[in-house]
Amino acid sequence: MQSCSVPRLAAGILVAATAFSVAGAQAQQAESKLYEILDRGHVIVGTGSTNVPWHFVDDENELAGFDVDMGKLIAKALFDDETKVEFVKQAPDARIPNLLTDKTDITCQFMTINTQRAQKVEFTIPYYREGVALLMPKNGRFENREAMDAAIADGETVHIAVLQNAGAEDTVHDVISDVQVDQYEEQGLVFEAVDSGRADGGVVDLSNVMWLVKQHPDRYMLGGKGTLAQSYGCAVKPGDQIWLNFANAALREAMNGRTFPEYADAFERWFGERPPAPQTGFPAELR
Amino acid sequence: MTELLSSLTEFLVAVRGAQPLLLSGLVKTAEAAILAILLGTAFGLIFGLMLVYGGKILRLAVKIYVDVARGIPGLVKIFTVYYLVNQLVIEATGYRMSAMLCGIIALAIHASAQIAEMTRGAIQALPRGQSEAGKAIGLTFGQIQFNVIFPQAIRQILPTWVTSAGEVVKGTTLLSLISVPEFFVAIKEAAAREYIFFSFYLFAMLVYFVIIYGIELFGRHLEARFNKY
Repeated sequence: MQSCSVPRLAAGILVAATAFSVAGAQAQQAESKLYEILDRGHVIVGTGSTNVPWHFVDDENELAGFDVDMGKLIAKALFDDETKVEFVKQAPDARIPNLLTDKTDITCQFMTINTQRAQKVEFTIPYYREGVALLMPKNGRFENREAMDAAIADGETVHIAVLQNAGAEDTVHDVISDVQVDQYEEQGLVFEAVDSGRADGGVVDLSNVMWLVKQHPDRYMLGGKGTLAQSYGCAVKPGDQIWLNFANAALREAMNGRTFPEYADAFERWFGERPPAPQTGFPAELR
Repeated sequence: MTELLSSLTEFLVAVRGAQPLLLSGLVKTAEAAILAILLGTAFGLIFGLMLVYGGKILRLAVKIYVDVARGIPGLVKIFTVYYLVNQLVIEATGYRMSAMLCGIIALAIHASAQIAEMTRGAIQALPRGQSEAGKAIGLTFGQIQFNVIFPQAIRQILPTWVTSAGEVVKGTTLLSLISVPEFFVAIKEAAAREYIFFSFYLFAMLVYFVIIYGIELFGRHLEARFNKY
């Protein structure tokens, strides 16, 4: 009878343990998109290209905007290099399908967090809180909001353009009621409808209205703000907690942690003001 | 008048600024259209020949393909290839087709079905005596096709082929919906950036008209050449 020496037994256990842990690590790595992205060397972010100041092609013909900056911020969190990102330009209605079919790793495209969508994709924590406002043309049918309200009270039909979206009617009625709501496929077509006089006003994101009125004071005016707020978050394919946690960590630290200056710079660049800096001491998100 | 002039100047400045963007979009549109037309024409001719000369089963298979391809709207075909076929290919081979490739395939399927029908029609419209005479003087099948049938059939095919090619160019605008940065996407991007919508869309209309009219002129030129036979 041969007996196993203690050192050989120990070595055997060590080999087995190592093999087990390597296999374990591999199994764990295979399970998340996070590791796939790290292996690939760049992250694929879905976003649009036709909405200022969220995602658009700038004067240098580069993709720019707040959503694009969020994509870069995630790339920086992954690779410490904000250029390790590939943007897939997509129409708003391709946001969810492209995630579900793995054409994008994450989508940051002014996506309103709502519970219907949350049944299909998983949202990160919000990175912006948006409201809506009424954009009115300077040389339109109505001189101002009061004139428009008076016409509505007289029973006239007032057309308000809005981007086709979940709850678009409610969005319009948050700013103005008793109007004819015309839904358009693209944000651009909403502005087009306002410019061409097909609509008497357009209900679009507050950030858009502020930017436009600032850029073209001769063409547009603010026709009132809505009261409801909505959260914009990035979205990922459901079922990958590791990747979702990572994306959340990247965004949370950008808003409340060490990477705050990057987030704040982007915020100021596109919305004209600097968000409040995080306080040291007790974590604000637990307040 | 001065207002019109100033908005025209504003637009021209915007077009100039967006030149690289618009040009790269135009190149993508041309790439997609040319490849789809070439692929569609090649497969269309082959399928057309199969419809005329194929055995019963082959004829039936091609007929089903043509009918299905012609009976589905272009956009549905594009989405089917991009979301469904692409997924099946990934599962089977691990290869991920680019959005551009998916778009080209979808457009080529559409064109090939149209061209297959045209080819069949054109060949069958020729009197039987043509190929029988070829056989009688001892020509091979290939010789009959290339020297007797094709030169005559092509005259029939050309006018409708030009329409098909134009349709493919028009179809490329749908590729924007699967993230191909083609010309119309570039137009939308430029319009969104400058907030000048109407003028940019009008400009797009003009450019597409020039392209499609150009194809038509090219088709007429070819027709004139083949009419010499």
